[in-house]
Amino acid sequence: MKKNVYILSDSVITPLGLTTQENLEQLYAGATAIKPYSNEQFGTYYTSRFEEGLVLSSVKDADLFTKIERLFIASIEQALASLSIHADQAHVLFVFASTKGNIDQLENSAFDRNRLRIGVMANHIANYFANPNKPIVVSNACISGVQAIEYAYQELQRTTYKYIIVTGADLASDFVLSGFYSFQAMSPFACKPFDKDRAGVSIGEGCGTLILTTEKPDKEAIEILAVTSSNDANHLSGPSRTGDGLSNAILSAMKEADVKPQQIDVISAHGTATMYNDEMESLAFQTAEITEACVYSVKGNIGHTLGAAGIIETIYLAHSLQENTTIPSLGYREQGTSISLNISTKPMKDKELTVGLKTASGFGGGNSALILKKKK
Amino acid sequence: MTNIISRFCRIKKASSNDARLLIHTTDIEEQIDIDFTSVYKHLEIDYPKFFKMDDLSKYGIIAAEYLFKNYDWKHDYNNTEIGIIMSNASGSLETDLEFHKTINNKELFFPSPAIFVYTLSNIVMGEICIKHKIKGENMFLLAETIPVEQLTNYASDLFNADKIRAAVVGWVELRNGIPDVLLMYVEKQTRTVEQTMEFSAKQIELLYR
Repeated sequence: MKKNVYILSDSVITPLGLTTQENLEQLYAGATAIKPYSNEQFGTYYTSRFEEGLVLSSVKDADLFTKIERLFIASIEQALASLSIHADQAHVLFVFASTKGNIDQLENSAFDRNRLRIGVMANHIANYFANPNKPIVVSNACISGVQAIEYAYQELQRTTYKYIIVTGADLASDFVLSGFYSFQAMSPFACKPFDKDRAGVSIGEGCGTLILTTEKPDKEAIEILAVTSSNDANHLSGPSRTGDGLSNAILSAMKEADVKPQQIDVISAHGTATMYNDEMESLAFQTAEITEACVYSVKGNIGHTLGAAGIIETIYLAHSLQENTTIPSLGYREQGTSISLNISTKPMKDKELTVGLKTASGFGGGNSALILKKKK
Repeated sequence: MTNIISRFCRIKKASSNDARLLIHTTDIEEQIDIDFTSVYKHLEIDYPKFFKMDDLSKYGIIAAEYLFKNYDWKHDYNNTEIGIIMSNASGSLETDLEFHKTINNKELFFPSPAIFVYTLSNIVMGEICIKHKIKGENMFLLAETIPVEQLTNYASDLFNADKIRAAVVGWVELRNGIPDVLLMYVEKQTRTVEQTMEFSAKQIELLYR
């Protein structure tokens, strides 16, 4: 018998907003945190980045922790704040997601090299919370966030953990920006997912934290119905042209969730605004026969937050279901994919939103799909 | 039904004062020199992309080759029914350091896309998926030492949930140029095999030792 898995609490910290609520207000208002920067190497480039010197003041002994570690800690504390859960208990497990962890510390010769290993970083953070369990760390490129939820979902089915804290973060480091620059994949303006004039990705940073449980919260709750992944075994840095990898993940998620394509009200797409990704996604949605759902990407608001994206965007989607309000897809003006999609252009409240799909795709060929349902 | 390890490949340093590698598989046990060209020829890999890969991916491809060479491993599975669950400690750190050199000097700033693509933990898994057309569930975990419990539990969950019918499971670590690899091919016990090796944390520890 499958156990139901619910979202008990969450937190999002991005340059768009320092709480989930602040983030949502900005999303509904169509605001962006992506700004132009320039340096000698890249010229002008666009990214979503925390203001220099942002102090996450709630963090104790802040000088013992790096920027990304403080971000993790602040977000986990936020998610725990409204609950009576203590993270130092054995029935609490941490699952981390990150693609590059402390990579910005590579140039800091005084930094403990071992903490460049994301597993070691995760231990350091779990120790801050005095959690007795070995943390789980997922690092599967841009599907890391959704897959951390997948891992937690499976773990809750088998074990007696009461709460799993799923947390993901990545930074818009020079390392990552240089890489996307070398790929000539960076958009020369704040990225425009699914638009005809889209020209690449904008990188962003941030952290999202979810607390999952199998006990149904008293209030109206968001249930995770299914999480799946697949590999398109096609190319390291580009998705399969047909979208078969992603459509496989979506189809198996719908099967597992026992959800029909027409039941899906809204899709939070990966929508990186590269030519290939958005086109591939439109094909995958068609293959999965999801034709009516309202589609959006938040990459125009917060950029691509890499390993954090799947968690942050699942939290946004959960709140949009609860608030019955669609999130507008910032940057979209005109159809830019061969398959016509019902792209969300303003916050709409006229339809009951019950079932949501979150998708993600990444370097290394990974695709993942997650289905949420609002339960009264 | 229990799951079994049908094939395995272990690659590690032969001994602390030996520069060679020890290769231990279902079929053989041998010592080889660390020389990618000769291993490539020896295994008749015939996959020129091999030489474009970073060393971590090369070791992953070599181990997968030892697993599947001359072995009909896909006999009755679809590509989407075969999963892959891998892990390591260092992610892509060796290649990260190499990429960092190309951006560290602001005067000689010349980031290489060919190196950057390998600066993710899971790329070695992606290379194995591409070479062997593995299209099922995929997961990459990081831990300080081989996470035998996580690997067995997570893979077994996927089997039990009927999300996969076979899987490549393992650990591919590279540190200071020294590989430490254990790859296994895991299936549901549906056919008779000569030696039955149960897919369990204890068995993985024995193979890894």
